[in-house]
Amino acid sequence: MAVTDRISGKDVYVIFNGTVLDADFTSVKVSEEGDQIDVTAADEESHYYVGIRKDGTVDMELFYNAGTAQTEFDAVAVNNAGTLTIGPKGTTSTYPKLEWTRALVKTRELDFPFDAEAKLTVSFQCSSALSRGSF
Amino acid sequence: MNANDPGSALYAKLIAGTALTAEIGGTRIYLEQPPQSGTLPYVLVSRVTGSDMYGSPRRVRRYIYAVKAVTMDDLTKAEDIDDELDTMLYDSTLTVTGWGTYWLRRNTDIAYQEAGEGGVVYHHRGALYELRLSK
Repeated sequence: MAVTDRISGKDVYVIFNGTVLDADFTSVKVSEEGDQIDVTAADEESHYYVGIRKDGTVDMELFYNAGTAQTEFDAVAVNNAGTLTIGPKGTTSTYPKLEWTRALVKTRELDFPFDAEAKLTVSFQCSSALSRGSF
Repeated sequence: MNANDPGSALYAKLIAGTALTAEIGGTRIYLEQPPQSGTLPYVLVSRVTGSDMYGSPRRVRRYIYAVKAVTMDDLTKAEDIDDELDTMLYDSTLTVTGWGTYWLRRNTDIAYQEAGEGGVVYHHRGALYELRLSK
């Protein structure tokens, strides 16, 4: 059967707090993890864990463009909070959508290597549950 | 953008350089191919490679151009013209409609001799220049 649903990152759409961030991005990474408690009884041979709270981060790297309007840079000031939406395949109707109703900018970094393009890196701390829907 | 546009932009920049044309002793700057009965010395601009760089949604083209002086029995003149080419091109910008130049640097030297008829020696001095254009 032909694979027709595999995608690359070329169509990724990212909007944070009303500002679209994907015009010149190089990568987006979504990470989730859970806190786990070891509730193993004393006589059990293997550990037994229970999952409790969930946590998530979204890391994004963009080319830093030194235009007069620093739209992306300004939008991701540290501690800015807002809705973070990712469209893995773009925003066409029925395409998948990942959304956190609240996320905060945890870190914002600029990197200016002498021999390559300048990059802006931002890390979002998710502060709500991830909802998976569609556009 | 026509694939030849960056070469034309390089040519336009060089032909406008009065110090360069004075060093050559004329406007003998050629794009891709010198005339069969070309008077020496001259400067030749030729495209070596051209490729897309798929690093982000913005389109980026990377070119390598060979820009060199060719002289007959005069190594010093070839080196002087090469120096002038370096002065004009290193970290400069080009005018290519619809594109921005953000990288123009010398990469690799071109330096060799070839024997001609009658015992003359042709000296080739110049460099491969890397050009990056973005939309």
